[in-house]
Amino acid sequence: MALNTSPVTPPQPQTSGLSAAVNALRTFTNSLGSKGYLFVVGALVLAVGSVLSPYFMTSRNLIAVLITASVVSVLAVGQYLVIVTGGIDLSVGAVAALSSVTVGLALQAGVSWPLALLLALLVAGFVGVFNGLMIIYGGITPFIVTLAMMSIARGVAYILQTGRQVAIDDQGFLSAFTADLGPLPAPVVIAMIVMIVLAVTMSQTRYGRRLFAIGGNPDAARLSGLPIKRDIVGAYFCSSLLAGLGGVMIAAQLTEGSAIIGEGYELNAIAAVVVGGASLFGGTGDPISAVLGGLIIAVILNIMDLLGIQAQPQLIVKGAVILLAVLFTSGVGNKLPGAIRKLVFQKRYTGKGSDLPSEGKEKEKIDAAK
Amino acid sequence: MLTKRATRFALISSLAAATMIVATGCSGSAPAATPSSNERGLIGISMRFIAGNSWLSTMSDGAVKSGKAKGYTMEAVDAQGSAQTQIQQMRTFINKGAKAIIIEPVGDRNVASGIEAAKTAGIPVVVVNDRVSEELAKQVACNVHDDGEATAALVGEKAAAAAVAKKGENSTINLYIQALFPQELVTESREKGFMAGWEKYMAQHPGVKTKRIPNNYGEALPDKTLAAMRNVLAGNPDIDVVFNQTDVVMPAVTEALKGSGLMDQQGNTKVVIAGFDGGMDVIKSMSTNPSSPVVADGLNQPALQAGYAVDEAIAAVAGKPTGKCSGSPATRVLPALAVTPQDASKYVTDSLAFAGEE
Repeated sequence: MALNTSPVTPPQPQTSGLSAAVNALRTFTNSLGSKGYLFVVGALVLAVGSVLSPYFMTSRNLIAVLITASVVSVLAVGQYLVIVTGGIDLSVGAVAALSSVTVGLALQAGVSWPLALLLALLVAGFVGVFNGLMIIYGGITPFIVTLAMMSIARGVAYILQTGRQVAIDDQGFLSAFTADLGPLPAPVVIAMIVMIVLAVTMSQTRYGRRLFAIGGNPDAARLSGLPIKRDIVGAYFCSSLLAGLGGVMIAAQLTEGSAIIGEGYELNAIAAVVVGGASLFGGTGDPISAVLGGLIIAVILNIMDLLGIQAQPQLIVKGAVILLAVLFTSGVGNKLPGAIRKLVFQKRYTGKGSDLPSEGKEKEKIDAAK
Repeated sequence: MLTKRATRFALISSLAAATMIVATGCSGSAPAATPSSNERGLIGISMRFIAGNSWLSTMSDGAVKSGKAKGYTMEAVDAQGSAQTQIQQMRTFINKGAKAIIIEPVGDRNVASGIEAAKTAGIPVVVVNDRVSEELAKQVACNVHDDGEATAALVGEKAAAAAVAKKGENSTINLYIQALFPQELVTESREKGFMAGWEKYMAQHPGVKTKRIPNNYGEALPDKTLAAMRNVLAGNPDIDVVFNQTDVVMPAVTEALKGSGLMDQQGNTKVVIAGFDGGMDVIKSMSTNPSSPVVADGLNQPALQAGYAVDEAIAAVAGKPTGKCSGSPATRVLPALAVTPQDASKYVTDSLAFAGEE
């Protein structure tokens, strides 16, 4: 019996061990879905960072990364709400700037900070409702509406700021948005609360389910009698509201409101969402993955800064990370090696008039025999 | 169906109208022509940017104020970073019968056809702040600009003196430059100038070693600077000197220092800070605090540059040279100036966002 079984088990301890580990890892990540890759990539990035820089794993650095990522995380969660419906919101960076100037001017005018905050969020929310109404009732695509709003909101922020610095020295406001809440700084806590609330909303409420339905199949959602118009306006409202909150958070961190902040935030937020595994066609993903996606980008940029890598290579690395992450979180990355193999073999053998390698060899043998 | 369309049309129209009204009704700061002061004629000003750039809008406002005070109608327009737009604006000024045109050029060669058109029409052109190619510079009445490198050298020298005073002889000083843009002329000239001034001072202090921390770029945006500074400070907690290349982002620099524990909430720090551009808030804080962490700030005086440009334009119109624009190409250079906490009060004014006026 033993003699019969021994040849069946190939004696390749090292290769099989490695391949078994890779397979086990692949199985594990597959079982976790798109989040699995995010966790694996995140763990790899953390490991690489701690090897490359002695400062990386210090609490000071990690807190700094979390604070930096908190604003984009809040924007990414809002952006996700829009993307899951199959839309896009390009105005979030400009809305963040507008709300930062609004809160700064209100505080300078002597308004109490909770009221100033409310005013900034109202302005941001109004922009979101405007976007939603223009998309639903104006029949204009989200890309165009929010592109136009990006310009309008930024322009209004410039006009309100009138070229001067809008300094913020209201201590109540500053401590509410920058002080430590327990072991974590306020911006990180705010980002976590936003992420958890929206994650629960998306997975546990009817509104969340409806947003998935709208993004997954808008026609089916409409025929099912779902309140599509109201839900889409709601999604843009939430996106702008969170952009406004992000603007207030960055204003507190900078101690000033400024019309020039938030440039490129819309693209950072979109990148975070897609790295998190959401499809720009809608109907997929989740807010937690969007935040994880943003965190991975922020950590990679942090490592490169710690290593003193120049700005130009950083751009290349950032772009490559986004592409790779999207490949793997979307599941295409799994199939990629197989697809490349197939492509190579197809090229090799189709030139000889056959699709299959074995068929090609057989044909050669027959030709030779003739 | 008709009702739906009508509702949609009414909604779009009313929202668009409301936006336009809000936008135009609030545009208090935009400089524009004042026909009532049209006694000596129009001088057109085409700026690379006005909206979104407080330094250039200070320059634009300074030119309008200066020209109006001298009896001219001033019209400032924003080219929004587009050479085509700037050329079109120059042609419009020519068609309007402008006496002279001042440009803050979009590129060093891109606006050649605009300058050529003005030359053909017999209208003098003055170039201010940014420079055009030597060939084009020879075709204009005067080129007015600051000497960023020389100003940065003064800042570097003063920063070096403050750093040595703090750290002592036979020490190692960790120097970091919070830069603007990678591979960009202004960024590089400020860095070059600062390092020239720094090394000039350090040549007299051979016991002091300078360790450069690689530059990071904030693109003159406060939020990007804050993120960049946080990362740099996390990796370099023993930083001694920060040269911040523009005061526009000084709040971000100080907040990053506070966040890293290198500055307390009252603004006290062992880190020596040097700035540039003469941001009024920085100048004010220097003037009120003799032991300010900002030990020097380079002034490029946008409003004063604008005033010089207006003077040269008027001189060219009148055919009476000021005698201050000389050489080939004809050039008038703003004297290099670096402010310290001791003399900052001389430059404080509430009417300007950046220090320096006529």
